[in-house]
Amino acid sequence: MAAPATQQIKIRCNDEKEFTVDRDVLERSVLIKNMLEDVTEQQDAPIPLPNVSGPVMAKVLEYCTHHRGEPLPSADTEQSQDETRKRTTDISEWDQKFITVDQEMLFEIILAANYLDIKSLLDVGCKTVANMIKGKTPEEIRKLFNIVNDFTPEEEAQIKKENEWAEDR
Amino acid sequence: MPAAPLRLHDPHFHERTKIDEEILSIEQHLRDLRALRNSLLPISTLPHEVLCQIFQIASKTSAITIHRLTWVCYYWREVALGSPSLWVDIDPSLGTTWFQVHLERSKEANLSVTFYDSRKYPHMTDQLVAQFKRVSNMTLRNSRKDNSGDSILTTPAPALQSLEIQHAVIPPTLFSGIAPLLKRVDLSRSTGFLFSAIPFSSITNLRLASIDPRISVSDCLTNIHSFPNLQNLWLDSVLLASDPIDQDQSVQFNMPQLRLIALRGVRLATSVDFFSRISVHDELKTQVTIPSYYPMNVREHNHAYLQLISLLRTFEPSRKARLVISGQMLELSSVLPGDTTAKLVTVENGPPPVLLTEMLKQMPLQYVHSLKLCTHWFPSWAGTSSRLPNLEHLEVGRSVAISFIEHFASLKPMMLNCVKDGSGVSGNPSCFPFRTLRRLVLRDIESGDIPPKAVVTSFCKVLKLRKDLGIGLDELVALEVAPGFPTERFSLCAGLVRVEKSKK
Repeated sequence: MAAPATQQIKIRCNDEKEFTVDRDVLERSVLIKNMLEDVTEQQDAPIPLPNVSGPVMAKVLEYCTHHRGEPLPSADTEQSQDETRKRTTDISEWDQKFITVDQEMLFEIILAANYLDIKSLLDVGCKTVANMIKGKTPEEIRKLFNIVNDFTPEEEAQIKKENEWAEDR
Repeated sequence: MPAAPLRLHDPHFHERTKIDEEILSIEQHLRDLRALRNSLLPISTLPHEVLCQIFQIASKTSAITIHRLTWVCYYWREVALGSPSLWVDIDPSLGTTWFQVHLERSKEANLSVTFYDSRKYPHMTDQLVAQFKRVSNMTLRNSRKDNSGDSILTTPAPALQSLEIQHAVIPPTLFSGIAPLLKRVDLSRSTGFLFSAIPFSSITNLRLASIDPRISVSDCLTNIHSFPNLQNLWLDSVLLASDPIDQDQSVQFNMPQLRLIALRGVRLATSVDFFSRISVHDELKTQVTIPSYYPMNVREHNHAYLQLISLLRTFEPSRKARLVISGQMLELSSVLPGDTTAKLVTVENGPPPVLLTEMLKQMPLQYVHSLKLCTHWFPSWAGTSSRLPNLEHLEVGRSVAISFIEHFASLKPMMLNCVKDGSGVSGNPSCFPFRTLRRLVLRDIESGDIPPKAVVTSFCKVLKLRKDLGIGLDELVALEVAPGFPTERFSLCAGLVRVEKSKK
């Protein structure tokens, strides 16, 4: 017996790029899942996603396709997972390869995951940035993200004094 | 009143003041420009709450990180100082300033406190007592038995959810009986323990380890029965040995909410006593570890563990039981007659050869699917292998691994004869043992111990798959060998999915 056909959903990004995707893949996004649940009749018009561009959506869909079928975090599990998530910076091998992109794309993926409400992807993105930060001095962090020191000399002297005790440890 | 200092005429005073103001204004303008430039960076597109989440993850890796993050740029400082949740980890051992900065910056957020050796920080302990209403997690680890944590342990803790104590004197009533949200309690190596010290009905997880005084099975069950929400219970070396004469098993404790019971450091008879007095949910998971000792009577001992197994089995139709009899004795998990899943027997170092031989004779090996041998000696592969018809996972080390290789190599002539005459061994499967093996691990073989090349080659040839003749280990998919072992010879075994070298 043939497997039942999966419903295909169309989405349109802010650069007019359109994707046709299996419903279960798209439902990794809580935002889209809620949108689809609100629509009672099948509609052909694509779902507009004004905050995501085509190339970023392609990456997000790659992630969602790989993780399709995995249980979504429920309200019950969320709280306990939150704690674990915050305490570890481990990322699975596949996710690590997936998120090895340039900084601009990395932040775009994080923004898209935040907007589309894909907790696991947001988590991978945040852990990646946290891993880049950890163990670095403020100057090294500035260099990494091309940030300039925007404190006035007085402010900087004050912060330096404030942190002396911490840096001495 | 002191006279004002005499001021000489300064002709450039106003001019200098004007210049200073201009410098300040330029500096301010520069700062604004730099801040504006920073706001146009890709990382600045991240919203406040996402950046805060990143800081949270990064700061868990090292206590210093969060302080460094406040020093990167104006916006990051604003985010870090404006997020009380980033400052909730309180560790007095990091110093008074650190302690106070965190107390202050965490504002009204719930605190997570870790105290190592509380007697070293009496001043901070007092400050903490004042803030105790917002402590949600507390770990108190003293290096030795100590009652200096008393002021903390008797302070009402309305927000406390999780508590871990090591090496302390437990007061008669923890937190003056006020800890309505307390869910997880872990008390170890502490004295003065009375069950009445934890009068909190919301507890879901309770772990007691090496506490003094020990408690009887009856007292323990009577008390845990009064925790209506208890789901997971770990008891490690806290139960008094049950006296068979005193065992009153007429009172049954019904605890359907329990999902896990783990007993460690309990005598076999005490475990039997414990489990025979409770009725629990069908899917209760159990882990029982019996300490090492030599039984006086092997038959009696085996009867006792089979009794325990059958008790555990009544709780766990889904076969999640795991019984471990460790140390110098047999380690065994769910060796359940008639059962076909999840079985493990580990024979650890120690049992004298005679005792081990006797035990292996009596054990229901036909139900064993997984066998791990950590001994230096094993009776006889030829005698035992035919009694292991369902073995899927075999892990052996040292001289036992070598004796296994030699045993297999010795089968080569028989195998060659079968190949020559095309008869296979289907008529007599016991001629070729371990045909159900799926994973074989040969550990701890030093390079000097590797058997002669001819033996290893014969071993590899015997492993080679000949499904058509019913010879060889046709189910074997994974082989793990000691680092010094010549794996290149396993290319002969075409059916192997994985050949790995064990880590040292």
